[in-house]
Amino acid sequence: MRTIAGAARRLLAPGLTLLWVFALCFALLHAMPGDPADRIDAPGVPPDQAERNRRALGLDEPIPLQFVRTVASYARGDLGVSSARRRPVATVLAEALPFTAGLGAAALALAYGAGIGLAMVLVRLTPRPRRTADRAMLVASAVPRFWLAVMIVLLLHGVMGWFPASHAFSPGGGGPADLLRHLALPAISLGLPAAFVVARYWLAAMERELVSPHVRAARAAGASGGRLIVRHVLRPSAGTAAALFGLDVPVLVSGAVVIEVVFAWPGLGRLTVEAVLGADYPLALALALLAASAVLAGRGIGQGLARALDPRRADAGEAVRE
Amino acid sequence: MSRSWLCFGALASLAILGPLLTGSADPPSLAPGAAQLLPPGARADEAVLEGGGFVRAREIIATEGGLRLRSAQGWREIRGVRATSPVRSARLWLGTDHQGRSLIARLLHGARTSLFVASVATVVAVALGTGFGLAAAWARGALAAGLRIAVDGLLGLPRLLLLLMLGVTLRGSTSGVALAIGLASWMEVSRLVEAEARGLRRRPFVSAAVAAGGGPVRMAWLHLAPNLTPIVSVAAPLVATEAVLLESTLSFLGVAGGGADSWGRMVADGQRFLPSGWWLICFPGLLLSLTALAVQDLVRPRQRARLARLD
Repeated sequence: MRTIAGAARRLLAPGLTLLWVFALCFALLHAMPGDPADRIDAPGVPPDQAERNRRALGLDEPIPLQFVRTVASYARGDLGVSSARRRPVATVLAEALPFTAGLGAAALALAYGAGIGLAMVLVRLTPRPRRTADRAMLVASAVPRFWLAVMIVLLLHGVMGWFPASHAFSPGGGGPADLLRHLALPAISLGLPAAFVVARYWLAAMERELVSPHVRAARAAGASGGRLIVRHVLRPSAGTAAALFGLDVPVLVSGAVVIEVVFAWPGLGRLTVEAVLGADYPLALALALLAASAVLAGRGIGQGLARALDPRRADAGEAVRE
Repeated sequence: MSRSWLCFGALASLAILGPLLTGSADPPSLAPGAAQLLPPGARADEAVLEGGGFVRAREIIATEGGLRLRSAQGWREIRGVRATSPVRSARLWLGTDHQGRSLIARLLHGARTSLFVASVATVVAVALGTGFGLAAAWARGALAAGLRIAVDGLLGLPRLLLLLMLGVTLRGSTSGVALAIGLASWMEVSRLVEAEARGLRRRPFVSAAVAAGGGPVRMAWLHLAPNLTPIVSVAAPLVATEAVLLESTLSFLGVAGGGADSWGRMVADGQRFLPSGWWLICFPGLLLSLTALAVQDLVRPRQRARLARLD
């Protein structure tokens, strides 16, 4: 009985949080100047046509009623119809989702692969160069994402000409190899700053492990070099560092919006900017809810990972910020 | 004062005084084609015209009926105009944009936008965050849970999405964007203040003041707020750093900065002229990163250590 109540309580807070996010986005979207009816046949919509569109979209009803209707249709699993694209929101999302998921997965792989690798190299240095490198990574992570992306385009596309700089496919279509070539620059732009952040977290966690008694014991027993780092330092610091995974998700989601705009990548991020700037209420609402769910899920996954990797700290998720 | 304050002070005085030195705004050249994209360090001739207006080109010669301009495409003549004073030659240390405007002048105006937005946003975020954090620390039961969910939800929404909606709602003007960034960044301040205030609440001097009959407002103002200064002075530079980056991101995306010079807008505009016009995106971005770093560095090491403990 107690576990059911506990599970219910654990689900209640995220549920309420999502409902609050939904209501907030709904209110903010309706507070924006203009509404979907103005944009449908723009430019130069005759006033009576705009009024008819408004009635057809149900925008002439009181806002609280519209809100209740929207929540009810979400509860039925119906996300509505995008007013700018005139296609079901679910279809639009399903088309864009693979691109964002692919970009996010590539960026995460780069961030964790390069980040942990970098931390493992740096932790073997003496303290002074290590601190310099840490400082340099802090500086690099203060560089705005969009500028880094534009500079990467300038260098790797403009000067070197190695990779294409926009869209997911070459004109006239292309195979998987073409898609991967187009994925390279957005993934680097999104993953590289994240790699520095990951490297700094892991470096700090590994430095704490490095001076602990069990590492000294392992050293005394003859472990040294890479084996010492991987077996005795990397593994115990995994728990602390994994809890921070949850913090990366909102950063990646926000970052993906900018990166997708820079590279004209046909994913959810670019869709978000188009939906908000184009006052496409149904699409923007669905995207906001999706983003908030991803952030909450990422937080949960981070805490779960931390518990799984480090049984000593059952409450590791609580100990970090957020 | 430390090096970071010097760095920040230099930036702030450039932002305030710089536009006075370079003129209120470097106007677009009346013959932009002739001045198009002068690289850094290029020399250019400038002439102010009678009846308003301004011409900048690689070379200008005043003739009987007007001005002869030399551009990359060769010579061309504008008839029926007269310069108010002799044509003067100037070195453009950072080059010009596609309208013949000096990049230095635009960058200095951008510094103004950036620091204005950062300071307004920080004041809004600190005021809201402190108030909300104090309320959350004092609340109990369902109210406390409600406040927690309110902050959780706002933190769960990617900040850029929140800002896109707020920015459009507040019409994208410079002060609107500053307000929007403030409204989207107070949650972290609130979290820090709440944690600190909860700790303070258990301290004997607060219990004593409660026992002496102090109400919540008096408690917050007289006993808690003074002790929150350290944590707020750590949080404020972090909010300001984020605000500098967010303002430039918003103007890069085209949500903010209608008309006003902004570094983000300059990078967005400069993209069209890549790779030959590299200076159009390199310099604004460098300044932006420098500003973000200078502001971020205002947190002093002792405070940084304190923040790390709180995490």
